[in-house]
Amino acid sequence: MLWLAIAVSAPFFAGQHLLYNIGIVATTAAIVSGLTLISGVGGLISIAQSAFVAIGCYCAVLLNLHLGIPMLIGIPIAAAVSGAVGWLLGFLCLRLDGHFLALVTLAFSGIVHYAIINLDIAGGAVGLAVPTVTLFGFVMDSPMAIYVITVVASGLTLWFIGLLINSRYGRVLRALRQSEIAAVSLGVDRRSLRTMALATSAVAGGFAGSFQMLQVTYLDPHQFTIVSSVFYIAIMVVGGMRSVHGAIIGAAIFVFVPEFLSGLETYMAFILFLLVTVFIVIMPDGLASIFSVPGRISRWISSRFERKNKNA
Amino acid sequence: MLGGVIAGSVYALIAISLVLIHNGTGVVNFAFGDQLMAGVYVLVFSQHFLGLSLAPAVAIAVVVSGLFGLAIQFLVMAPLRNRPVLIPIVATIAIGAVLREGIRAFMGPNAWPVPFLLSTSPYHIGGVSIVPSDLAILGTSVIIMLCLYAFFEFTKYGQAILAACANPTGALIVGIPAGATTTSIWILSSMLAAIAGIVIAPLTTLTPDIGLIAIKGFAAAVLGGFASLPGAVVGGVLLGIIEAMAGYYISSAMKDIASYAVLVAVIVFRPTGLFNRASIRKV
Repeated sequence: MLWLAIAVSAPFFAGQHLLYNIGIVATTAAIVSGLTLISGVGGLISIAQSAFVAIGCYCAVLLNLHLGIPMLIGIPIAAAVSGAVGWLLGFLCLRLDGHFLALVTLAFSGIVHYAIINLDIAGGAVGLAVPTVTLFGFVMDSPMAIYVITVVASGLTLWFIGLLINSRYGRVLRALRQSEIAAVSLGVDRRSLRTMALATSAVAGGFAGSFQMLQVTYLDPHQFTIVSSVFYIAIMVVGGMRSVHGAIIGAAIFVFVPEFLSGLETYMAFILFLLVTVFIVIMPDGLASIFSVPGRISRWISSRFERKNKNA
Repeated sequence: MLGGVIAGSVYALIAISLVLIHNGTGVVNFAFGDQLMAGVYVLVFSQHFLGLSLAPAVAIAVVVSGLFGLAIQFLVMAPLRNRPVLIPIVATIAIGAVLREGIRAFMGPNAWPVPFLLSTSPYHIGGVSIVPSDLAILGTSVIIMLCLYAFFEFTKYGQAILAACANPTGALIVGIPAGATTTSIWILSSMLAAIAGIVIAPLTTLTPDIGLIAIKGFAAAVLGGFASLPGAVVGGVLLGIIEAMAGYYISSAMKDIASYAVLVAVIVFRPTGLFNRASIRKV
């Protein structure tokens, strides 16, 4: 609810630059929410999120450039393509978990990056300009229009992933993380579940990524390296990887902290990652875990009282 | 072909370190490539700014890298040791980024020249041209591997580390201190990182992004099954040859994709590596 309030009220108080940044936070959070599902809830490490984003972006743009399909129709198709690739990747690796899945997704990220650079149709190393969006005949290219479109799309993605995490499906996925043996012995189909989780995270990445591309307005293949995949993981861990709130908090930190640190110039990225490392060590559950602190304190106090009562 | 073997011997060094850390601590070290990069930068720094000659500069690079491994273990890995495995892995990713961005800020994004260990002018012996610097790469790698072999096979510490890798609980029961072995694994593999970096850097260009070479080490380790040290060596050499062949027969762009393709193909079709039989997981 808090997020909704911020997103709706932002156009009234924020200047153009801040509005742009809030839009970026929204799309980044939606991209990361896919990771939250597969890694945070499902316990599988995927280093392929930026590859899925790339697939979504390039599909949408190429559909528009070569087949004349409008962006707003092309983006869901592209997200579906991205999901299909994710499903295929999941299907191929269904007997893997842990480090091996991390390595396969890492290699997948690398392959997609090289493929984009070496494919002429995708603009090669130069990249592609993003076509404008038209809705009911109007060209949506004002910052406000782009803000509304992208925030609505990412809001929907986050809402959907949030529902999914708390649904029966999400609970089964969580059970699988906590005790695979117990879950499987209770009749959970591990393989299809994990494949679907990877596909869903790919859809979220492709969908929200395509909308982020509308904000950035240019497709540069260097946005889609292994390093960017790793970035998404860092966002998830810093924010908190158990819920979509973590994705939003993490995205906000990774968008706004560099703004504050921009005075440090070349040392900015260094300080940022140093903070991230320190953060992981002191707060491995992510910033979103602050919200559970009051609960933990009250539980601690009540356990104290119980002990005293026992002694008495 | 020979070039493939030479590159492969370095991949083997990288793979050995990755396998060591994975077996000994359960973590895949995604910071390894950046540790390797940092090691070479220490060498360059002590040569250009401290004015040292090659040998002491190499020694400093290796020692600093080892100390850095010690710091990783004490500052990051030890506090996180009881967390789900995802957290330490992400921590190594973050450490790697710290190193990379730190070096980029401190030494600049441009390439630095790295000295070859021996001269690059070839000798011609009976129609075969032999380049001393290539021999130095191969020689260093082989010597390091032999040292490691001797260390693990014939010393008490080496045996203790191997035991802790094979069966952590069992090793604890027979009195091998878990903390000390983990620490020494981190130091050892970090020193290996610096050595591998110093050996390979003259062949490529030294930029803060040279650490991506670690992916080839991952591929080599996976090829060898990610469990055994000899497997890692064979995997490394094999990958070097595959890569050279792909670059020669298909296209030079394929050379870069080859290691990724090998990584995916092996993991998907033979997750236990080329040489191991499938292990049965007991409940």
